[in-house]
Amino acid sequence: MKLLEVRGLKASVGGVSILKGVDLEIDRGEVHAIMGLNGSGKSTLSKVLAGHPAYTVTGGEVLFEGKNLFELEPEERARAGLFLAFQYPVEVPGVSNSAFLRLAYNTVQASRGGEELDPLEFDDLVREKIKVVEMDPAFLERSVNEGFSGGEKKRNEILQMALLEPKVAILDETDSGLDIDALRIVANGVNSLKSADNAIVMVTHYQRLLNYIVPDYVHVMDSGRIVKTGDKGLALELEERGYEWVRAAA
Amino acid sequence: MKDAACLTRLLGNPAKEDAFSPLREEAEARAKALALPGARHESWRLTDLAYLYGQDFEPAAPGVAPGIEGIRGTWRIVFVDGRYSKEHSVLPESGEVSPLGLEDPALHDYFGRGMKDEVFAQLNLRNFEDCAFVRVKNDVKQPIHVLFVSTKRDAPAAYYSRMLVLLEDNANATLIEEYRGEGHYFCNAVTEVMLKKHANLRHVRVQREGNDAVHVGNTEVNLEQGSHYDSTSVSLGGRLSRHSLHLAHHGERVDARLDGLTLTDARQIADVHTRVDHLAPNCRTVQRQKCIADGASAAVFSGNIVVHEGASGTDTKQESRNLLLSGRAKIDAQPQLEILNDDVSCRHGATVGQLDPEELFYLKSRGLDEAAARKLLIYAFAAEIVDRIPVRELVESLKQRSLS
Amino acid sequence: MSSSTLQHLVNQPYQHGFVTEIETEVVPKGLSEEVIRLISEKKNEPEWLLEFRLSSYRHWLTMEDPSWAKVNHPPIDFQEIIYFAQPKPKKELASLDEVDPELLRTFEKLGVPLHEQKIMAGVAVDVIFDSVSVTTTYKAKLAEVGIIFCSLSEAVKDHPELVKQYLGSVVPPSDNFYAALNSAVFTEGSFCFIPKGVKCPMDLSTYFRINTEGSGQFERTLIIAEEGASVSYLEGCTAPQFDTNQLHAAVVELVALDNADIKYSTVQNWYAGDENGVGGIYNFVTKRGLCKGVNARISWTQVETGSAITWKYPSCVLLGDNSVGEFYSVALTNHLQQADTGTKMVHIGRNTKSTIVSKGISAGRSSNSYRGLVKIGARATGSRNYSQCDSMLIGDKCSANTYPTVEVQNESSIVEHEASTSRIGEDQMFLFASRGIGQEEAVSMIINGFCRDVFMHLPLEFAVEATKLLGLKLEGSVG
Repeated sequence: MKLLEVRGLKASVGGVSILKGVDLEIDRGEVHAIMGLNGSGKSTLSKVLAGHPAYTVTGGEVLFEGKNLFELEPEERARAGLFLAFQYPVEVPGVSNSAFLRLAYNTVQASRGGEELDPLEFDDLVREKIKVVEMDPAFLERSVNEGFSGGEKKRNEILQMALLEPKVAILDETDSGLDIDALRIVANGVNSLKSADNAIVMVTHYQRLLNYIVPDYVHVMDSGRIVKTGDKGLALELEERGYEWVRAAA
Repeated sequence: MKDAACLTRLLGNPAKEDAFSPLREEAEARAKALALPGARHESWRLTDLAYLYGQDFEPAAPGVAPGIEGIRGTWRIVFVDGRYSKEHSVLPESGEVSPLGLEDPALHDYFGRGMKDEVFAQLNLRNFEDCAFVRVKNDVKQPIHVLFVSTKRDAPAAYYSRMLVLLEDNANATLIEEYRGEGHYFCNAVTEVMLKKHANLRHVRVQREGNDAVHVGNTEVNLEQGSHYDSTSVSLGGRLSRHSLHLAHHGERVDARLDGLTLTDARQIADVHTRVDHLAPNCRTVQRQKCIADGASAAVFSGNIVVHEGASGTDTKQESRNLLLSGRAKIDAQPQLEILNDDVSCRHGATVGQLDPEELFYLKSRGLDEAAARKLLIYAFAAEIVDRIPVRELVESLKQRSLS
Repeated sequence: MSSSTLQHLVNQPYQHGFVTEIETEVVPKGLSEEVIRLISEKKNEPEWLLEFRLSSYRHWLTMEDPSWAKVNHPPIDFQEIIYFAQPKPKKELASLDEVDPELLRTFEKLGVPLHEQKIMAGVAVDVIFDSVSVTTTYKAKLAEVGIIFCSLSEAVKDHPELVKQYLGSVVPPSDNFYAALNSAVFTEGSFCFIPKGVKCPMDLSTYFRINTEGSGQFERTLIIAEEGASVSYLEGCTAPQFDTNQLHAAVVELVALDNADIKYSTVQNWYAGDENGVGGIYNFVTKRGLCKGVNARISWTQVETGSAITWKYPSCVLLGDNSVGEFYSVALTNHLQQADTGTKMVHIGRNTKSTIVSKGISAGRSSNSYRGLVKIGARATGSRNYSQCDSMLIGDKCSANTYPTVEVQNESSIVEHEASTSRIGEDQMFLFASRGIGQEEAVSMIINGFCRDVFMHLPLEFAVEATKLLGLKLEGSVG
């Protein structure tokens, strides 16, 4: 049984059809990259998988460890081990980052039968995990994402990934808006979290992230479908020849 | 009861007999029922009307205006003591600007329909002589200058200025509404504006009445779907002035911008009241009001934004910035929000402060004397509003005024 | 997330709606000079206090019910109200052990145990049941450092000179309609006096309970902090569920002399009426503090969750130079509740400072208004105010209104006011969900976060209670 199986997935937003039949299989220990132009549907795919309420599934199915993903609420998906790193992390004024992280951690732990941590224990844990993304612990005491720079927001997303230990982590345009140093830090964070038991799906526009997190598979999306799949060489070829080449070939 | 006596006096002359007579009669009845604001009238609480009630205003007899300085490159319609002056007006042949005639169909649909609970607007309807009529069907390139002038006379006089502005679907226009005068008088002004679908009006209002004048203006703006109303209102003159501006967003995606500047000095009292009703979804209002009070003057700003049920997607921003330059002056600011819908983004802010000592010091260290440095900073504060006026000549003349 | 789910999450049943079966002695309903004389007589009051009441009553007769607030209610028939109700004393009480056990159980149930040993550590409590004070704890201990903490009736007997000096000195009987009414008929309240230089060693607290149907509650609290003294005072209140509206018209007066510091916290949870707006308390309260001396500080913190109608503006008169006024408020309205609340900061002295933080949360078909006045007088050189008023709307049938007034007459002062409106965004809810956090906890956390700037000013026990009251779990964001 694969970790995640997407079959003929169709979805729309505000009555406009975006995904028009996506097929994708992801297994433990794999790193996938989904590439495509703006508007190709790659961000929609990640939001639909995480259960964003603005998107309506109109066809197809998704199995997560053999179970129908669409029967789960977004929070249940998260507890089951699906993680989305947001392209635009949301700001939550007034709610402290550390309180938010601890609540998320304890909720997910509880659902998995793990141990919940009190604020002091959690503080130890989070200070350990925060090293993964080289983030200043001062950010723990600020409101969730409020006033964070683009790079800080993205690091905060990877910190959440480190805490929640998902089975499938979808990184939606995690490289966008990052300078080269921040990109390296985020990529190192992700690489250190990669294991034989989990899978990573990078949704990206550019090849440069793939220099740091090397994919086993590269998929190209166009007009709501995956039109081509290859290995990491495909990404380089895309960089060189452009998306028109895939489109022409497809 | 000075307010009651004042009302009696303002209604003392027989109403003009013309095709508007039925409207005038109704207006008189309403004005009597409403009565002039007394001390307990909430919306007038901060504005002392003693200066108005303490004078006996006679209806203004026709006067003769001396030479009138217009603004180059504009169409111009001039009213002297409330009466249309053909001599001073320069009207386009295409007919967009005219005195309101009885044959105009807009009369029945748009004239005198609102402001039923505004006693001064009802007095205007009862007593007005002539009304400017601006009706634009597509685009007018030249700005339209509507000028109300009061002439100097021996006894205090009351006159009524009035205009009706109608922009049809997709029409575009720039309008300058201006008040000037000399001596002791009471100008009661009413402006009705209707923007049909996707119409676009750039509305500039300049109140530079004489130092001893009383000015009470009521403006009502009705906005249909997709229309765009951009207003700059500058209030400089008058011993006592009040402007009430009411906007209603009736259609979706209306976009309104309200900029206002009030400058007061000596013993002036200037009051700006605005109310914006969001009645339809996805409309926007951005408001920025500035007051600068010096001498022993008083500036009042009360701005209310009301988001009604069903007006989802509303986006409003309201700012009231105030500069208090003297220990004898007074500023009152009431930025208000009433929200009956959860899908909104509404913000407002108000500040009262003085010139930044750091900035003053900086300018002085570059050789400016105290007075010049202050003037420069005051102007900079005002410029944010004034500089947006799209008529250069007017900007320059207002600049002269606020620097003097 | 749909607004109906959100509504569900904020609809917590009222926990304190039970009635205590206890024999009560009431003065017949209605108001007249005779009734006032009767109340005064029952309380064995001195002549000057009766005169205070009668002159207030006569003034009240000349006044009109205020109409400027954004609240609607049918006219109140002041002759239908019971002005005095007290649990019938079986005999003169010698100690707490002789208090009717039914009363003791009532307060246990409300979480306010009356036995000192059971009380939350370090809080002295005065407990008011309908019109009378049931008990005051830790009185003797406080007396050791010279603090007087007792019911107002006792203070009238034991410290008449202090009561006479300060009663009505901050809120004169003629101040407003309900203050005049209170001055005529007030029946009980707390009295605190912190002498010069004393820092009150524990929080002082009054717990108010309306029990009798048809009775009004007209308590009056007077707190005086002398030079250099400081005190933190907490006030809590509940009432049973009745289908009729009950009037609560209290007056609270605070006086802070030179360098004194008074912190007054309220968690107001009067019965709010049912989901159709039937019943509930009309909470028409006048609270005002006078910073009489230099460097005095008065801080109001309130969490308003109850009452059918709240009409309340805890205010500060900043008379002393360098004095400080603060107002921190959370007001939650649901169903058909109406709240018109805010503050007045009147700057008279030089270099006076005030801060206003108001958070309004509206749900259901409720109406929640902030009304405030910041007035900087001509002499108040160098004064500053900062105000922040935020509203959160839950659902599209409620309203949130902001009516601040700023009046400045001094050119060297700075006033800043900011307001914003928000709702719990779909994106925020999705973020929480995608991190495994359920809706209930997400809403709780967001609302707590929204109120954080206020909760941080509450004493800890109150912060806990306030958080619970908002239908939330403490998990996380406070502290």
